[in-house]
Amino acid sequence: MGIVRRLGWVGMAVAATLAAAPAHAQKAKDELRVVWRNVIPNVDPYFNGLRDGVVFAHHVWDHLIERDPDTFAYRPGLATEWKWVDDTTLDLTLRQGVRFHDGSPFGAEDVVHTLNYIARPENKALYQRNTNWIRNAETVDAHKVRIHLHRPFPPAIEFLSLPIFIFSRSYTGPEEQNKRPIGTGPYRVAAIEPGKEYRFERFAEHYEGSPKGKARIGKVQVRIITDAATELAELLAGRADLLWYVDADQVPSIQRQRNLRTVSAETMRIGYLVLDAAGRSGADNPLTRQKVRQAILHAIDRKSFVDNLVQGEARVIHAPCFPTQLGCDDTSAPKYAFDPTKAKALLAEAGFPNGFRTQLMAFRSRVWTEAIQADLKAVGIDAEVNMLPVATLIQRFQKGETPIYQGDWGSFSVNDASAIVSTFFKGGEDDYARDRQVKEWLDIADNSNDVAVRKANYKKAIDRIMEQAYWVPLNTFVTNYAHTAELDFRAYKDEIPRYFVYSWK
Amino acid sequence: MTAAQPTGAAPAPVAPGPRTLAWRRARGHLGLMTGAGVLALILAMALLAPLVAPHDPYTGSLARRRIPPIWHAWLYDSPKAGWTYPLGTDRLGRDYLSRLIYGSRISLVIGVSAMLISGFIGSTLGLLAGYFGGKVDMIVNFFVTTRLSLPVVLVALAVVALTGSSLLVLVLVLGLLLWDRFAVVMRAATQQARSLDYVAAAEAIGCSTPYLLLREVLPNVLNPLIVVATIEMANAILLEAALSFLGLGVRPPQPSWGLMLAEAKEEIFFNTWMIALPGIALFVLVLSINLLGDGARDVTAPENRN
Repeated sequence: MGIVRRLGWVGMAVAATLAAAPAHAQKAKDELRVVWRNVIPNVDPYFNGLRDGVVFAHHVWDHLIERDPDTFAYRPGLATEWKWVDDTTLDLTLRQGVRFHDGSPFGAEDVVHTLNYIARPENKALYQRNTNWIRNAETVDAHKVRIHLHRPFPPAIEFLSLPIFIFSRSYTGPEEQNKRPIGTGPYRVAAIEPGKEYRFERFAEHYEGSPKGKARIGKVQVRIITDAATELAELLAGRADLLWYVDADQVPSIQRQRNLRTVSAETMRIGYLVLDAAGRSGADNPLTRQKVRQAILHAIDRKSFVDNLVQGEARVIHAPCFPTQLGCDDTSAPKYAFDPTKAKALLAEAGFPNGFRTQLMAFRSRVWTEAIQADLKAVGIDAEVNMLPVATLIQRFQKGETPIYQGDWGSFSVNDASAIVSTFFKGGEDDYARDRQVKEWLDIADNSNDVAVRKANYKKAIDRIMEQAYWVPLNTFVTNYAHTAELDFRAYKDEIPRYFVYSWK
Repeated sequence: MTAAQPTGAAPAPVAPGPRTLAWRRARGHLGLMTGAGVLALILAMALLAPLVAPHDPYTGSLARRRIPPIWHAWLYDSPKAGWTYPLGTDRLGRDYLSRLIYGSRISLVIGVSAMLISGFIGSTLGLLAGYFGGKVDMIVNFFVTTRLSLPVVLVALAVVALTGSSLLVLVLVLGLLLWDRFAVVMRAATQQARSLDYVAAAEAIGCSTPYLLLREVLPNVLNPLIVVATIEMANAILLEAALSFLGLGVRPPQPSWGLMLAEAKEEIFFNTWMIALPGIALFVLVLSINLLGDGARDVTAPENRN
């Protein structure tokens, strides 16, 4: 063992001792300090699609039905009972004695107001997939509501327990919500500085019998730091207690710190490339040719990408969905092996023997994106890398400005293929394939009550998506958390950290 | 302006000429010699990059990523470090040494070309303002004031964000933004030179204005420009690194030192060498250029030394 290494350990020990002091103080203050990476455009969960926003929502608002984070079983939330009257009508009995953060009582009016607001297309909820299956809701009596669907929608309960949060009857839209969010959740928002900081306080009157339980830590402070290195500096210096999306390369080094812990958990998120098959970024661009897209699938060494960069439990995937999602079946979809020679041959067949220039836009990790760039370069495709902040990039993606988009999607943790395949392949702003056939199959799959029919049609859609090579499915995600040893932390497979569950050791 | 005597003044036969004197001073000037030596070394490295670099700077293997540099084998018993990659590999498995060597090309190309462009613009404006004075001077002063009120980094960021970045755009942007010092220094020097007797004499015998400007004034005001040129070259190199670091300069996978810093940013706490190496490279290059400029000033115009 080298002397310098020994000195290094001593240095680390000193640093750890120094850093440990503020954490103790934190326990006394009963305030958990979390750092998020992304700026949420609006905290209203119907008007942002960022994971940070989802986490925000899970703390401030509640669902009618709550899904158990471990077993995925449904538990009574704001609704104590629910019953399908027929394929398109759902009756719910609401819980009594629930209060909002402002003290007002919760009732049928709140539910009906929220659902009707988000279901109206003119209110432009950001991800229509989450809300456009609801036709309307009506009050049956003060504690009973009835939801009407446009068509049968089997994953309705799943959606009610994840992206559909219930607001109060005073809700007037995202603008007001972003200033004074009022919910029934275990934490109430004490202060909000958009793009900078959120402060939460335990809501003592969070309803009895909530599957979430009452918050154990009194206060949560969330700061937004858009730079990974700065985030880590905050943690190492003892000015933050919990980080997530920590760079996998840093995890072993953080783990070696005496006062810090890391947790790596596979989540429902998948990483992928969206290829502009529909020519939205430029009519007749090379990506509109099927062979070019297939060449790209063959060009990327996904195994090496997953093993060396994503690391941990991450896996290569061959379909545009997470393997456990209902309908996510890649058995008959073509699998593209890593084969640069074949990629080059396909490019030549498509009329690009010398490759072409294009753009690769991404937000997550410069290194990951440059690895993809290098693989493309090896077969002659010259992709200019453009790293953008996530909110900006999603806007440009939805406007149709990204030739190759490297993204990832957590499906709002909905364990059903519709939450991803039907978001990206049904002709909306997020669809770069614009394939009518795929949309038809997805329509059948989304709106059939017969599980076999659903599975068969998702499978057909996935087969076609992969044959046409609209997407390059890359990997399942591993989310890395780093936290102070003081914190009793656990990760959930739905990728939603639950601050109300955590406590100090 | 005694260093470069007017050509008419022949040196006394016994005393050494100004050039010989300058050379003597140069050889005794530690800073100048160090700067010139290091710069020459970097220049040679840049020119001979394909011969010197042990690996391809663009292709790496993910399986060989983040190999630490050789001293980790000596100091920390790192089993991965070795002579195959003496300075280690980056986060994509590309050889760090080769990328640093190729990176010097980008820095030098941008530094020299931006300096030439800004030098041309600045000295032309300065020469005209200093020689003609009056309205011309007023107009040039207006341009200089306007330019000085533009924050360089901000303008460069905006332009690059609008036009997209490439080496050419970067060189042009930096060249068009860094000419103010040239203009100011050139103007002051020209104003001095203009009133000297040999200019008046040339004017009296009927030399044309272009002749006066280019043959009488210009050669005698070049000295202070050398220092400005080195400062601006160093400035351009640092700006390129800054822009690349911000993702608005040289595009990956080009091995720009600024980009290498950006790529290694997340490693700053546990793999300090990754960020230190390109940082040191930038530091050494800029220092050597500044030493060279400083030395050149001392040698050619020793009376300005302080």
